[in-house]
Amino acid sequence: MKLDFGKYRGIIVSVALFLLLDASVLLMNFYISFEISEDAVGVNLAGRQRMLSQRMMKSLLDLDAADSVEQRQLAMAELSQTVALFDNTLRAFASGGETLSAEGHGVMLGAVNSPAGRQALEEAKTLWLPFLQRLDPLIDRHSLGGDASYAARLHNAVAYGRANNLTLLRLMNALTVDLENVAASKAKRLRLIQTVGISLAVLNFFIIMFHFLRQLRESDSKIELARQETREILDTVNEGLFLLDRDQHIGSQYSHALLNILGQRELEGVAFAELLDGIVSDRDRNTAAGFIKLLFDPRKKQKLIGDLNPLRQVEVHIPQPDGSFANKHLSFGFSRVVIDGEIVHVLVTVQDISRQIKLADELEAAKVQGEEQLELLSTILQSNGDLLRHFLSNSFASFQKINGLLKQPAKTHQQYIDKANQIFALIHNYKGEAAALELHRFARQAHQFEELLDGLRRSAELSGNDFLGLVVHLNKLIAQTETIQGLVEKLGTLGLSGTSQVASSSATYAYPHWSLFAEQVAERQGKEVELLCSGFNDVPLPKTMEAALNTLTVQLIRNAISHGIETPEQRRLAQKPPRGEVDVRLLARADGSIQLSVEDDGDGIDRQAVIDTAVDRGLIDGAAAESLDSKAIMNLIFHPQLSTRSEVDEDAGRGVGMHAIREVVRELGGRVTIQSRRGRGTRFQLFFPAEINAVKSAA
Amino acid sequence: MLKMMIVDDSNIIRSKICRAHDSERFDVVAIACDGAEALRMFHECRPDVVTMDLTMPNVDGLECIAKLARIDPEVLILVVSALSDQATGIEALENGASGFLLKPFSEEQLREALDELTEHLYD
Repeated sequence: MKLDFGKYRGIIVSVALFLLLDASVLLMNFYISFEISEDAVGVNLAGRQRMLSQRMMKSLLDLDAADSVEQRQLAMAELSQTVALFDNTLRAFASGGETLSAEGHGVMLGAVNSPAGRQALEEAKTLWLPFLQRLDPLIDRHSLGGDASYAARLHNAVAYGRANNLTLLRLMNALTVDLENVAASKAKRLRLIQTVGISLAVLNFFIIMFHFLRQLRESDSKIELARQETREILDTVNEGLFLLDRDQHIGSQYSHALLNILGQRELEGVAFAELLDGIVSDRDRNTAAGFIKLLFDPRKKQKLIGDLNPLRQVEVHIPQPDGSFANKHLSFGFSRVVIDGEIVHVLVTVQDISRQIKLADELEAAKVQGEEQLELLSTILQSNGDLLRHFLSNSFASFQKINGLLKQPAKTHQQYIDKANQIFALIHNYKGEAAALELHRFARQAHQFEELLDGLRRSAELSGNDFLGLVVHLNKLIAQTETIQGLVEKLGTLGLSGTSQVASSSATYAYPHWSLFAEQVAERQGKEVELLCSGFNDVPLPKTMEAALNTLTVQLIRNAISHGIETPEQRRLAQKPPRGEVDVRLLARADGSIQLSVEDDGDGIDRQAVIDTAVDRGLIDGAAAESLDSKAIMNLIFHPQLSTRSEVDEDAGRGVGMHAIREVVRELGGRVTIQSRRGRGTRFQLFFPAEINAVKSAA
Repeated sequence: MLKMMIVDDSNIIRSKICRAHDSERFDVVAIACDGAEALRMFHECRPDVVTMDLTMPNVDGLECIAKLARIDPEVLILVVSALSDQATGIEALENGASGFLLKPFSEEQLREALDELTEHLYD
């Protein structure tokens, strides 16, 4: 492993140096102290030599003066001991060796090296050796004391001793002084080394401190600079930026824009769920928490979960200081922050995309409007002018009726309900005709109007105020219908629209139009259908009948496709050809009456479903339902509030269709019959008596 | 070569995945039409990678993912679903799936998703 101390290298080297210095000073200290303690022994022993030289002389003189054998023996013993000790120690000083300490232990002495010491020793040796030569025979033969030669030897030794004793003392003193000097100089050296060591250590300390402080200051200023830059970025960036930890709390650093976007003051440490609380739906908030949790799971692939972000585009309601709410569209982005292979945070970006959304919506609206206008124009250009005129005159008549109905006073809930039902029937007709002419925008508008009415019909309590909203809607419809009227008139004067090619036989117009209408209804419902028409060219119709018949046929075709014809899948299962058929016939009878029949080969009317729905809607009660005969059941179909289809759409489903049809037929003095076989199909027949025709046409 | 299992009740999606995957890296060892079948086949073939629809008859995708992950915690499951509800997608990932591919997808998107799903196996 390679050691990498990085920015701490300097300080580590300095500390190591410091320790090394300390260790070497300590080592020197030990060594020199040891030497000094050895020198002390030397000084001590050198001092003893001084004393020994004098004791030796004293023993010698004692020996000389001894009167008794006892005294002589005593002096001799001291002399022999002193001489041996002196001689031994002197040799040890001269060339190193062992001698006895004052306590009688053996001590090692190193040879004296100093020039003064050596010189003293040399001189002492020169004096001592002849002295020793004189002393040795004396000591060896002390037992023989008393003979003449002994006295002579003693005398000789005493004479030599007297002559040299002081010199020997001086030399031993010189040795002692020299050894003391050596020890003193070593102590001085030790102090010097210690002083130098301490000074170096102090110097080192200052270097370390200076260096370290400078480094600290530098890194501090770098950090400060980085923090400043981060701050500038966070203050300036337009997006909301912040980090979430594993507990989904917001970190201490976030962009200023975030506060503006979310209308908050302080976000540090706030839980993300708390931030979202009240500004997005609870569902989105919970989903977001689950999504962020996934981001912290390293097993989930970040690139493969982006589609699960519930806040990628979200509408929020930001509370304002004045208590109102600002609606914005925000886009939240989430990305993992990975450090050393571990997901430590999730970076969240928040963008206010309200402008983009608004722009996109406007573009879409403009596109739709453009398409609709084009559609309208092409419809007008392609369609038969008469049909359009019928539509327009019918529409304006209906609007007038609706206006009248809206003004009519009502008191009871039932009266209001009736009012709503009547308006509904009129609008439903309008919707049917608009759809037949492919004026889908009008059909959609009418559909929205119907939904409003439907809401009213279902309310438990109704008052006049509830109808006020309808006026706005009605005016919109009127304005639109006037637009088309204007267009038709202009195109008419330009000779562009179908108005210029008014067919002499007005009945022929219908087929292609109805076929197209049938196809479109079928397509919207995911069905396939073939429309067969016959008899329209053969029956001369009065003008007034023409418009009514158009309305009725359109409604019946639509009903047949919406309610009767099954989807290709269902038809295959029922072993029918996938394409359903709707057969529309107009018959003039010999008596002058007219018969319109619209027959489909669909699934037929589900009587039980009709009963169930009627019971469900409270139109009849359950007990009465049991005893209904076939005719009574069919009669239910004409009830204004019955529809057996569960979904309501542009084409059918509110059940008012049959009610409206019967109203129109009755107005013309006719009647309606229904024949239906389950699984085989349904036939609607409308009969118009001749005399009424005649009256109407004459009118 | 990684062993792959395709689980989807739509024939169109099944054949699209069969057609689109990188056959040099993946070997389709099993094709199941519902969750129950997927569980049975999983025991037999032990695939490394599973593409999984969420709405299926019998055992649905969510339950199937949880069961597969219990049998083999290492298995890589890519949820392939039309998103009507993000919460369900998240639940699928909580149950043990590793990625999510939104229907409809292009062949290129499927290949990229499978690469991303298995990328750590090729490092």
